Amino acid sequence: MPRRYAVDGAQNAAATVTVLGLTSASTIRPGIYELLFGCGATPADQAFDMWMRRYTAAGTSTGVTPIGLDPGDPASLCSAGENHTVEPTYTTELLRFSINQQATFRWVAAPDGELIAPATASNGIGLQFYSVSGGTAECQAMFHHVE
Amino acid sequence: MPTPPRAGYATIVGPGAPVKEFDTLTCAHCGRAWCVRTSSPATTADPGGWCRLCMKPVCPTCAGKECVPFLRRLELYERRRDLFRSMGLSL
Repeated sequence: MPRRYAVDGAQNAAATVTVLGLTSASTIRPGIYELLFGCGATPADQAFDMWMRRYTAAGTSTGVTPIGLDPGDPASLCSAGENHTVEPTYTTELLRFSINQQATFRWVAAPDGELIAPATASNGIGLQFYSVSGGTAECQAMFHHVE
Repeated sequence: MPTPPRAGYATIVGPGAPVKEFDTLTCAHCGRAWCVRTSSPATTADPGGWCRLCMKPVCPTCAGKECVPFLRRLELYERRRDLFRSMGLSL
């Protein structure tokens, strides 16, 4: 059975800024099967246009450790990062959605429909603000992935 | 195109508005996920296409194009990386 992990990240809203990135390794192909995104800041009327994209270089970020959903599993071979100071090098778009700051978005993949990253170091998938209507509210995101 | 029973699922929950629900599919060729049906009749969605070779849904961008399953694309990408590495180059 594939091992399942959860990882979360936070980032202040701004256009073309990454909330959370999950970076693969040369030995595994991680697949994101669930995404949660919301904002814990003081409620305001603000719009976020978000997208999940592949990247080929992970950029520079604060590391966050994926946690095994089964406590008996070994540590994840993936790495993850939040609060990027250097953005990843993005390529293709995988999923896009727009929501109000007061809303919460959840996506669950169809079986075999996970967003899969290649077994290549520094490659991965990130959740990035495409555009923000204004303000810098802190937003949180969580990925669940298999590897 | 009817949504397959094993479709993905997306929701948007917010104050002052009903929960918005979407069925989603993941393209068998490029790995992109997209919404195919919503609970809002005002929202139009592109159902994408269906690949008769791999018998899986494909996104509107990949519909009608050559069948290259996504895992095959990943293998080609990873093989190219290995080749470049053996030549001392980075991808």
